Amino acid sequence: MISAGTTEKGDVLVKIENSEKREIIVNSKLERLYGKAIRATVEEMTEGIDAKITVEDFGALDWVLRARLEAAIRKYGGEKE
Amino acid sequence: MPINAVGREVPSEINGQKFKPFAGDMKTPPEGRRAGSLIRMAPRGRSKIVNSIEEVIKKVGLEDGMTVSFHHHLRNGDYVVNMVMKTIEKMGFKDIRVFPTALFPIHEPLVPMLKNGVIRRIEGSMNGPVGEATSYGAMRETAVLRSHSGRVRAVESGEVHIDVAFIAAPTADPYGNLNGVDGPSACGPLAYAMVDAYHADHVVAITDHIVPYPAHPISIYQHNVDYVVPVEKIGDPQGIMSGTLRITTSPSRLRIARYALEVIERVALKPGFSFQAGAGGISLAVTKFLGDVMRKKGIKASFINGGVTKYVVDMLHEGLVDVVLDGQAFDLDAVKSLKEDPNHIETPLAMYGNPYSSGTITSMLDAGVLGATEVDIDFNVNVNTHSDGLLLHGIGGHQEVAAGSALTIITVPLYRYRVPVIRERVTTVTTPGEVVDVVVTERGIAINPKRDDIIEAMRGSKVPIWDIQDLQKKAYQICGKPEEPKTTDEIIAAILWRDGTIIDVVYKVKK
Repeated sequence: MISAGTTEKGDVLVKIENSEKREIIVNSKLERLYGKAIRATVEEMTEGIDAKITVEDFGALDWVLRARLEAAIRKYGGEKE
Repeated sequence: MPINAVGREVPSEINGQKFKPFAGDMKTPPEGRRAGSLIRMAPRGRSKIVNSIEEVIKKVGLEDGMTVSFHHHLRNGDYVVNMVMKTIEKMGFKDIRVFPTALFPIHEPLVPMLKNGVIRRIEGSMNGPVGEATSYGAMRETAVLRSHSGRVRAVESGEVHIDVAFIAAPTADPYGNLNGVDGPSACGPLAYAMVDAYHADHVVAITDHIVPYPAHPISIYQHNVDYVVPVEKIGDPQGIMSGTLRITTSPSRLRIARYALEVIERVALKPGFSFQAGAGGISLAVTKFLGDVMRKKGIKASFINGGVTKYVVDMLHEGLVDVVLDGQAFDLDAVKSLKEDPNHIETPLAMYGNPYSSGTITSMLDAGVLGATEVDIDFNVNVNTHSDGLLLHGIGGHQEVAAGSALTIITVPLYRYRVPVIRERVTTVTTPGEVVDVVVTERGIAINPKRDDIIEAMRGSKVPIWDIQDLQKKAYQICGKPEEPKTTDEIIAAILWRDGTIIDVVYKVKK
C-alpha cells in the first residue's frame, strides 16, 4: 500500500492498495457540501486503476486533492514496475 | 408564511406565540409596558442560605412546564446548568423551558433531557452539541435564539416570563448580594444575569464562595435574590477563563486585521473615538494594531465596549482609552481590572443594545469589528449555522453592535478550508446587510454601496477594493460551488432580530 498527503486540516490523505477489483472509498468532513465534487475528481483522476483507493479528506481544495491523487498514482505506478 | 425584509419566508407563530416578520432595524415600534415579577416579602432571618438545590427547588415551588433561566459568564467551565437540570430531572419534572443566555459544549448532558421530556424547548444560544442535536430534531418544540439585548427585551416585554432564575455567583453573602470578581470561579461581570434577577418570580444564587455580609462590590443586589445555595464548585476555572488569548499568527488572518485597521484609521479614528472589541484572533489583532497606531499618533479613545481581554485592559492602564465598558470578561487580567479600576465599568445587558430602551451603548460606538461564519452578496451575515445547515453558534451581541456602530466591519477569510465564506446567499440570516458597512477579507475589502462616505474615505488606499460579487466569485472559483444543505421543511429554531421580529428560521438537517 502507498499513500500521499496528510491528515492535517485543509489536506487530504490518499491511499492506494492492491485489490482484485476497483474500489473507491471517500470520507470527508465536508461530505454534505463537496461529497459529489470530491468523488467526481477521484473518479476522473484514477480512471483505469484497478485498486482500492481510499480518500480521507480534511477540507482540501480541489487542486490539493488532485496533487495528492497524482502523487499517489505515480508512487503506486512505480511500486508496480 | 410571510416574506420578511431580508427575503426569508418566516412563520407568524412559534410555539403558539405570535411573532412579526423582520421589517428592517428600528422599523417595528414597541408596544405595551414593561413586565414585572412576583412581589415577595423579605425573610425574617438574616440568612437566605438553603443547603441543597433539591431543597431550593421545593421552596420556589417549581412545576412542570415552568421556565428556568441561567447566565453564561462561566462559559465552557459552567457546572451550574447541569447541576440544576440534573436535579430537576431527578425530581421528576417534565416540559421545562430552559432559558439560558448561552449553552456550551460542557452542557451536552442536556441532550438526553430534550429526548426524555424533561425539557420541551430551549430559548437561548446553543454552542456545539446541544445545537447540533437540535438541528437533527431532538427538541420537541421550536428553539428561539435571541441576541444579548434581544433576550433582555424579551424579558422586559413579557415575551418570556422567567419562573425561576438560577444565578451562578462566584461570590455571594448569606443575604444574596452577588459579584463575579472574587472567589475560585471568578468570571468578572454578572451583566447577563441582571435582567433575570430583576424580572424572575424567584431568584436563586448558587455559589462556591460565601463572604461575610455585605459582599462587595455588588453586581446583583440582595433585594432581588431569594435564596443562596452553597455548593462545592460552580465551575472549572480552565473553562471559565480563556487563559492568555493569542493574536492570530496566520499571515492571511493578519492581513485581514491590517486591512480592517486601515478602514478604521480612515473612517473612524479621531480623538475621543470609541470601538467594540472582541476575543477572536483577528479581533484581538485589530485591537492590538489599533493601540499601536493610537500610541504613535497620540490619539486617545473615549471608551472600548467589550468582550474585555488583556489587550483592552493594557490600553486602559496605558491611558490610551478613558473608560472600558464591560459586559463579559475573557481572561483574568480583565477580571482583576474590573475589580480594581474605577474606570473599568460593569454594564447591565439592558443598556448594551436593546432598541426598546431609552438608549444603548452600541449606538455610541464609532467602530465595531465582528466575525461571521458566512456573508452574502447582499452583505447579510450568518453567525448561527454552518454551511451544511447545522445550528452550532449563538448570536451574542452581533446584531446590536452591527446595528448600533457607525462603522460596522465584518472580518472574514474568503474561505475556510474548502468552504466559501462569501456566498451568494447565507444559510441563515443573523444580521441584515442594511447594518453592515465593510466586509474585510485577505483578498481585499467590499464596501456596502450605500456607504458613499466610506467609499470616499478609502480613495487612494492600497487596500484592494472589490464589489462583493467579485469576492464571492473568487471564493467559488477557489473552492467550487458547494452543494445546498440537505434540510427538511421542519423548522427547528427561529432567529429573532434584536427587536423580537423573526429574521430567519433554521430547518431540521437530514442525518
